[in-house]
Amino acid sequence: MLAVKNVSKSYVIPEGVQEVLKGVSFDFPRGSSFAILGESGSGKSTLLHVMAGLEKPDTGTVTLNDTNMWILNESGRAKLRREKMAVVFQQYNLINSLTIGQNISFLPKLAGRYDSSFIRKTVDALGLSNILSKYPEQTSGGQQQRTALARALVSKPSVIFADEPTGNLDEDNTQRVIEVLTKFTNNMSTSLIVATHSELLASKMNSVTVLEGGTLKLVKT
Amino acid sequence: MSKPRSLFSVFLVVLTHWKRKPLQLFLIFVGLTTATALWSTVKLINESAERSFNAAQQLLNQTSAESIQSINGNYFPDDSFVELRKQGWEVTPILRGSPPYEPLLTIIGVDLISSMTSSSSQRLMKTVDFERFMADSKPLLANQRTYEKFSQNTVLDTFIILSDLPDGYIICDIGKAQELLGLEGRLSSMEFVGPIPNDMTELLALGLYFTETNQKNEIQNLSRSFHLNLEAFGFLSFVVGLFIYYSIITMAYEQRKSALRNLRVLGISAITLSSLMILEIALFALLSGNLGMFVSFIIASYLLPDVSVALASLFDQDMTHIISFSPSFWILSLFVSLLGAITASSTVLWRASKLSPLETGKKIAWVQKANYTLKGQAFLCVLFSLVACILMLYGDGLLAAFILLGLIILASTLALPTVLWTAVNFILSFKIDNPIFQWFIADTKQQINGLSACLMSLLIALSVNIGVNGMIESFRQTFLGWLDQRLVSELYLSVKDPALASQIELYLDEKVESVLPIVKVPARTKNILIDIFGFSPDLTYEENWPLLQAEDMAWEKITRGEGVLINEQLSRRLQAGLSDNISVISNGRYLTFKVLAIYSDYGNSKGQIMIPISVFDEKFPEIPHLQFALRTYSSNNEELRRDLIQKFDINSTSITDQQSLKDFSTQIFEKTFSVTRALAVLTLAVAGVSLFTSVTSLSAQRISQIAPVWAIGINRKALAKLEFLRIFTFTFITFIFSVPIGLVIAWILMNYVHLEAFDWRIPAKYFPVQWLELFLVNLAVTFVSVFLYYFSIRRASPSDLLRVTSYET
Repeated sequence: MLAVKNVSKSYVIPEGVQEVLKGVSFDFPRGSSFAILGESGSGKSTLLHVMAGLEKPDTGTVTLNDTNMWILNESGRAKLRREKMAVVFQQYNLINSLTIGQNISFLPKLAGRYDSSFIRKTVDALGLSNILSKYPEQTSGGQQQRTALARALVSKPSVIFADEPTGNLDEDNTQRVIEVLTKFTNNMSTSLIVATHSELLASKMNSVTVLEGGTLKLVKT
Repeated sequence: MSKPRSLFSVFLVVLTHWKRKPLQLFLIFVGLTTATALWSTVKLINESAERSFNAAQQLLNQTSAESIQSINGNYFPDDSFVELRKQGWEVTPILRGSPPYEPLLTIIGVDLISSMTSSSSQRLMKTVDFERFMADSKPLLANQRTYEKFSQNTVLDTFIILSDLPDGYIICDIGKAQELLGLEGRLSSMEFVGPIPNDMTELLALGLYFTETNQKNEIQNLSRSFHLNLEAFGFLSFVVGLFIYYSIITMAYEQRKSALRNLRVLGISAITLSSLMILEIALFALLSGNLGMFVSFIIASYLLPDVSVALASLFDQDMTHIISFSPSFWILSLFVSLLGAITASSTVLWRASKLSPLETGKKIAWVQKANYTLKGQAFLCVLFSLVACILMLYGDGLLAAFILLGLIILASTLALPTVLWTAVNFILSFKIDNPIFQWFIADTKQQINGLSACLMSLLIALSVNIGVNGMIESFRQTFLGWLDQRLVSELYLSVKDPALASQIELYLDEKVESVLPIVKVPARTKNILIDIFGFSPDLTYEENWPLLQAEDMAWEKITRGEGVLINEQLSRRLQAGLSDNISVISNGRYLTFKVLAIYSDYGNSKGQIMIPISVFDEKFPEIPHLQFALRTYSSNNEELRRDLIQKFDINSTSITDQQSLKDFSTQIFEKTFSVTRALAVLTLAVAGVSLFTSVTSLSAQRISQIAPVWAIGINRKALAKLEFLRIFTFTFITFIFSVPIGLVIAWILMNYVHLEAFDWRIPAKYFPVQWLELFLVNLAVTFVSVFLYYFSIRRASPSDLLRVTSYET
């Protein structure tokens, strides 16, 4: 289970200090899916980054399966990230020097959970089989977003953090991605936490929360 | 808003990039300043050397190639001149010497009346009025420095300042020279101003001898080689400096492309943008050019003393140690800086002139871009290699040799990225299970294009260092070994009085193991001026003389007078091999010799024939034995030396020991190559700066490229180590690649450049210890270059790493 307790985070900006998260506390049970809604700049991405061990909170703790990731050193957090989590970034964060196929198989190989038939299945489900030998620069934004999603799914993590996973997709592909995401996470008992503006995507999640004024509130279960 | 004002506003927007990227701006200045500074340094040194050369020429113009001298090399009475003139010989007298009170001053006395028709006098008369020169006061011609230095010793004399004359030389009427030198009624030589008679017997009767020199051509050849050598280095350093500039300006363009595109959207034409960028480049070039000139003055002043020693041995006179400033040179340097900057920016300017306001069409992936670039480089590499092959087969002359060298360097440099690309592809062709290793190799492949400019400049610097040091060290070892062989006798004695020489020879017969006379006469063969040496065939020569080729039982045959030895230079110029006959003419005598052996003769550009002393005495009975090599087989010869000086009242400078001669020759050798060596080290330093600048400026871009890997779960420390390993791998492969190229450069220097310049071939030697030293230097350069980069990755903040990556980088 992923538990966030009393997490605060602020940034120094030219106008002064901007408090983005103000004592966020929330439990995300294993195998469940959550949507985090909120306006642009409300701190959704920051919360995902803090939960993924990428950005350190000013105060508070984040525990994954009883491990407080912010008392671990950088190597420990990196290990936790590659073995237990997967992050789908808003701008995909694909590795430019690797092909689409190599990008997808990178994380499962790194996590020691490489499963070629599962990869093939996922790739087919996301409609990526004809671009595997291409480099990210040679593909469209939507294809890159689906690649980022495939990379997260094929590593069979305990938890997936997805930041606007359908942000660059057309309606058909949005449907396809939502279907794949929910189906795969359900089958693998993977927790799914998505930050999104999409009502459609949010409606498919077990729970919906709203980040407002720096705090997270449950609005639907 | 008026048009100029709006243009100025746009220009300010273009310039804002540098405000945001001050490091890039700094590196732009480093690149252009370095390029201009090194180019100007070489030009300044060459200009200074050129002035010395012209001064030397001015002096040589006062003497002709054909002259008459005393057989024993002493001064002779001026009655001989009168006698020869009476008999119709068109000669003019010369007196050349140093006054006892001022050994650093050389006075040359000429007789303008008898030499009126000669070209040398006519040249002199163009600068000095004849009547003024011949006035009762008998003025002395000298340059300003010589006048200031020596005028206090000759306070009563009138000076005419001639800036063209070299330091330490005075030209005056021969009567005045005799008076100043205390050599009344004596001459040092006579020179022909008319036809040269065929019959020389009258000369021999007067104790005189006809000699010919080709000093002007020899100096010209050596000087040309020296200057070309420096020019080549200057150009290489210039190119390396431009590589720095090129890599930064290209990267800056990619980073500011969005801003430029926005300006296009706002209605600024591509031509206007390109023009403003040219203006920006011109500003950089002019500022850096001025700075580069300032730096070049400092470097040239530091290097010039060594150059002057090298040239002093070349021109046989001192060289002025002053770097002179001329506005035209300053303007030329600024122009070169501008031209270099525009050339290195041509790709960027071309892209700017074609920049569309909208990002249209399909993006080209890095792998496709790299493929285009590599194909272009490979094409040029093949083209340059082909031209080099043609030059190697059909090229002739020193310039062709230098062009060949340049083509080989360019071709191999252009081949480097393709070699790296192929090597990485080869590794990637294997199935790689380790994802980090796979990413490392793939990412290494991606970096090849970005780092290729600095790696190419590093390759040039490393291979030039290996080549030049290899050539110098091969030459040095060969030369020192050769000196050991040639200067094997313990003492060398030289006297001017034939009677005294005979007495000493007789006396020494009982005192030393062997007395080996050395005599020589000038001769000519197929219009080439040479020297014929007489020597005593002795075990000393047989055991030590450096023979390149020899017939069986050559020494026995030479002792029996069946043939001669010739030096390598003569063998090459005449294309004469073993058993060939060589016909020569010396003082009206026609002689033919059979070649039995060829010996190496470094440090001398003149052809030589060595014949047994018995044959020499028979052919040239009038030549006295005045020089001797003495074999004592003892390291301590001080007692013998003192004994000779006391007993025969000879000058201490008449006896030279082996070590002094070797030290002198070695010193000249070291100084001759000190500039080349210094420039090679400077080029390496510039390449180090290039690597540093490229790696440092890449760091910002790299952080966004490695961010995805960090986000997936590789910590910053591991990534920093991998980045260090990657750049080390690049520089290591570059070093490995530079070794064979360096050997090729050394081979071309030894087999083409030197062969063309000096007519001798240096045997190639290999110096792995030198390579290891260079590798350690390379490692240190890499370490220093990557140091900041390594820490910038280790300390990169998560917010930096999480920043959105854009493909427009």
